[in-house]
Amino acid sequence: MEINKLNFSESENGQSTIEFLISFVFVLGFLFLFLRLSIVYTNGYLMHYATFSASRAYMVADNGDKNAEGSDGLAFTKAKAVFDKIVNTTQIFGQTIQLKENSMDSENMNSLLVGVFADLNEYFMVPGVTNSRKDLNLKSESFLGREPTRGECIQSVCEVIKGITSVSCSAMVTLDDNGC
Amino acid sequence: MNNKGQSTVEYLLLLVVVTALAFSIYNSARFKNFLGPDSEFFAIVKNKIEFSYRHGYDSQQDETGDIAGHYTFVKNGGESRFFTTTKESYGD
Repeated sequence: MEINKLNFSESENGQSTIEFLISFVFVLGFLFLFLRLSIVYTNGYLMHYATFSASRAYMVADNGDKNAEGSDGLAFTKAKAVFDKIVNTTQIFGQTIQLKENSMDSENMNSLLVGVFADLNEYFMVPGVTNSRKDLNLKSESFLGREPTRGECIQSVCEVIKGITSVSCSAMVTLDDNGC
Repeated sequence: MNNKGQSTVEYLLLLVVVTALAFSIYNSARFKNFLGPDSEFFAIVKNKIEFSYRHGYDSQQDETGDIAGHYTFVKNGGESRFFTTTKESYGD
């Protein structure tokens, strides 16, 4: 009996361990793939939230300038501050993300696309599979537009009052409270 | 003559066959297409993640990154599902 116990060719000890290790490599690889994907999704949600918050700040920022475009620079500064507070002050992303704007001043800009956006670079891969890494370029966009500035309101109200007080009857004007 | 070592020889022979099969599968075009470098499988996963992240629905259309041709906001020809001011009435 003692001789048989030492005879490796007839012993099945360790077989399940070897099989477990072989299959465990694959299971572990896919486990880490899904873990990585969950991190990508979590970062993505946070990024969308930051972009949306920045877009809201961009929409309403106003410094009371009498010129119609006088608040546009301030709007992007405010949006950037909100975005950076959520994204770039945390260590979650491990990268500096640049917020960009689509303003009405941009050439051929559709008014539907006025707002802010940013790109998040992430990746996923299957550990153990060579060259399985895929880089992801995730675009987070929020195009809420811009509220009319006080400068625009002043100009439009001024135009209407001028129309009312003019002696000419060539044009009809209506003065109403449009929320400005 | 005895039977000692028979199971070892059989085990080795079987191991060779299994290893050969595993390598042939691993090196096959179909497997590489699925899990190998630059596989179609991962390319599809990448496209689906990028598209659904940006547009909020499941698809894997080619994404040009061109903001003027944004699927969610403006379709080809300037059609849109949104009601909003046009550029002309915006004060341009």
